[in-house]
Amino acid sequence: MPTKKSLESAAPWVEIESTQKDWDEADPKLLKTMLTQLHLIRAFEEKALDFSGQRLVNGPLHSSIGQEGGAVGSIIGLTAQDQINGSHRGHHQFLAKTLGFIAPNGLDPNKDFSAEVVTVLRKSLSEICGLEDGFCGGRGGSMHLQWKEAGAMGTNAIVGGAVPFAAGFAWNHKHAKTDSVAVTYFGDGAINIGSALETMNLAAAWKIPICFFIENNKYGVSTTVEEATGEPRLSGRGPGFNIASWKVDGMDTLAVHLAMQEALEHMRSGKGPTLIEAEVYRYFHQNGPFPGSAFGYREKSEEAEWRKRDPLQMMESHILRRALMTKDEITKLREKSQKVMADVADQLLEADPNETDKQRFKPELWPNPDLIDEGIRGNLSEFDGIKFKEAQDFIGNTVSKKFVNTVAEVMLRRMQTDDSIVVMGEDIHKLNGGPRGATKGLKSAFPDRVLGTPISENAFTGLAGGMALDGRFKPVVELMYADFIWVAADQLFNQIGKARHMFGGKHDMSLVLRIKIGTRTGYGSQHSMDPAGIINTSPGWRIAAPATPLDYIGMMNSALLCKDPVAVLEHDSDLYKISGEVPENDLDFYIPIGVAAIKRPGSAVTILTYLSMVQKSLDATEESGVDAEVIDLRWLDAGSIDWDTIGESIKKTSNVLIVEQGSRSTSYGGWLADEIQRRYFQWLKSPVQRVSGSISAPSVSTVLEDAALANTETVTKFLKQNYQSNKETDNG
Amino acid sequence: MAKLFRMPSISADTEEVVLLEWSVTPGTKVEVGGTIAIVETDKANVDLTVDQTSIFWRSLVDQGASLEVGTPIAILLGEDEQVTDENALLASLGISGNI
Repeated sequence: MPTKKSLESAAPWVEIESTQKDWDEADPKLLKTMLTQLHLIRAFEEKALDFSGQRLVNGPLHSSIGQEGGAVGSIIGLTAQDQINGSHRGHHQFLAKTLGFIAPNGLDPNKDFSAEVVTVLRKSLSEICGLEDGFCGGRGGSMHLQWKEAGAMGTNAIVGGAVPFAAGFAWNHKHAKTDSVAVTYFGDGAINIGSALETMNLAAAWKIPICFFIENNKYGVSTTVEEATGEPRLSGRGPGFNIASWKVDGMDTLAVHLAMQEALEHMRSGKGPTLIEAEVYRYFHQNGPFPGSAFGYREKSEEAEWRKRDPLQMMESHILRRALMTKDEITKLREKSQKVMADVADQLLEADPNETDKQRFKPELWPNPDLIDEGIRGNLSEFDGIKFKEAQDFIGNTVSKKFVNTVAEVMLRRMQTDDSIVVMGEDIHKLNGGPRGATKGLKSAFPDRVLGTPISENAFTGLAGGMALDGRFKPVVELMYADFIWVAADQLFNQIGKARHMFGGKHDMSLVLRIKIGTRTGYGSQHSMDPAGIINTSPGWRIAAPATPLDYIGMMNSALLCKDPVAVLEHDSDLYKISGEVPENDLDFYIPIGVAAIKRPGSAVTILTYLSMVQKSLDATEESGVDAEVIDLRWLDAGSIDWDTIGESIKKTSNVLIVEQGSRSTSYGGWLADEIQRRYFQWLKSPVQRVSGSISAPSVSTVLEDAALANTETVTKFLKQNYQSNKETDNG
Repeated sequence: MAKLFRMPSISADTEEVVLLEWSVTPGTKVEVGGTIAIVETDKANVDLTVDQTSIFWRSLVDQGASLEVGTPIAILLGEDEQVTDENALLASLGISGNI
């Protein structure tokens, strides 16, 4: 018989309840501010629901009515420097944070609301309605509310999608040596999704000050918590990651506050993350102005029971019991809150001239549709005054260096001159410079700025996104293989790529993602993609594809200066091992974003290519005897690509061949060919042609891998078949 | 004051709503929160309620009708409102034809 012993979680896991004594001892000003916030949020949400019922709000409106206590109780103790983010149901948290920001000394329920309060209400409602005066210029709407200065860093429409970003805010707080914290709000639905769980693990591993605040409102749309998980005690998720965890009645605003005070003490004293599960109840369906019972997944009696525990009424009963306010004063607070929202609504609405008893937004309040694409990326003004250099500027002053060593050396140099750079990735801190040596020397030089991550791409790319959104530090993330963009896809594309534009186009997202391409390493179908074509579908990203060590230095320096997320593509087997000429004593020069390089002038055909296919195309040009002009695109994304150079070349050659190594299916060339035929059709003598890999992803088998990838021979053959005759015809 | 009651949006994905039954007959006084009709979407059965005490003057659509969100479905009067000129009232609400 084996022996057994019981094991226990290392982290405390407790349920906290308020007592009559707690209510008796609570600061009257605290309770009155709480009540004022609760009423403002309730009246705000009622007006928003009214708008939703009238179809004034485009899309869903996720009301927080019933859940106000969790937000107010947990946020009222935060400072302006503490940051929050949230989910699709985030109006209440956003209002609690922004009201706390503009009124840090509390709100007096007996006084008129200040102009700042009215402004916050108006700009919040305007945002929900998609109007220009909203916090994000009307681009965010109900599910993307952000006011960075107030520490309201953005709510999110992807379940669990905001959680990794909050870890980035928290990491910045810790690294900046402040005692500030991040609180990430999400629901019972998000507790089971990978990004939330990965982030809990990462936050505990790195002991960062983040509170995972679960608003358990019992239903993910119509699915119950008990249906969705075998452990419906959701605060139990924390101890599994060694995170101190509290469960609290979210309808009891004071109890939530007390739980949060304990969590704040824990986080501010450097003990790492916390988790609070607040049990709350949304009175209405997942969206819209009707109760969940109307949709048949719960009973009216259940809704009535929860309404008896209404957070506003609970607060009022204690305030009355302690005679802090009179019944009449509370009634007036309710009326005043409804009145301010009615006034705000009146500012936005007018009678619809086309239909009786129908309202519409004043037409002048809509954002300008002509500016739809403004602010997807920055305007590159950070490069004003920069003197750029190219390879020709260093002729005679170069030494030969291995590509991969350059990768490590330029990063070391930048980390020496820029304290904000933080490098992270899987195993990059060990193995003498990571799996391939690309981070050699960084860990020993900057132990606290070189972070070996757990294998959780959503968590650490998202954490980097949060660091970038906050802006105090500049993350450089290494993705071990390009195919892992799919693993991290939500954070890369829904979050990082959209963050600038979606929240109004006003804040930077300065982040570098170093992506190692694994073609020709025998790693097979899931480690061998060229991600350029996929990343280019996400317009917030810039894509750098340096083909030489010298270009790598100048392009990495520009990527690190750039205020946008930049994916820097690195080629393991084809490029890391090669050597090339680099400046003898200059790791500080910049190569301009958006400038391609003509590697070989020619007249027969323009070859557009990048990374290792640049040299292969040059070799193929020599072997074929075709007088091709070979252009190294260098910057691939739709916002950076060098149409001037491409256009000039096409006007000269009248033929285009796009050369890529990887699979045709996920390739970049399809987009490029489409753009070229529409931009330069009149200059083309022949269809835009493409050399690329196979339809399938590359396989492990040596012969199949070879067959899956374009190479020098493929290009040579294609040039001979398609462009040699052109030359002869021209000559003849 | 007389006003139109329009079919509300039930949830974000609702385009059409079926009016299952009128809960009140014309002339009935309905207290605040009282139900005037039961409607149905393919997801929900919903009681339509009034947000202030009103007289249910008359319906504008028949039971069983499938309606778009925003369609006027009834005319409500204020608590003590009397109608002297029906045609003028209908005209003021933009309602034409026999109802």
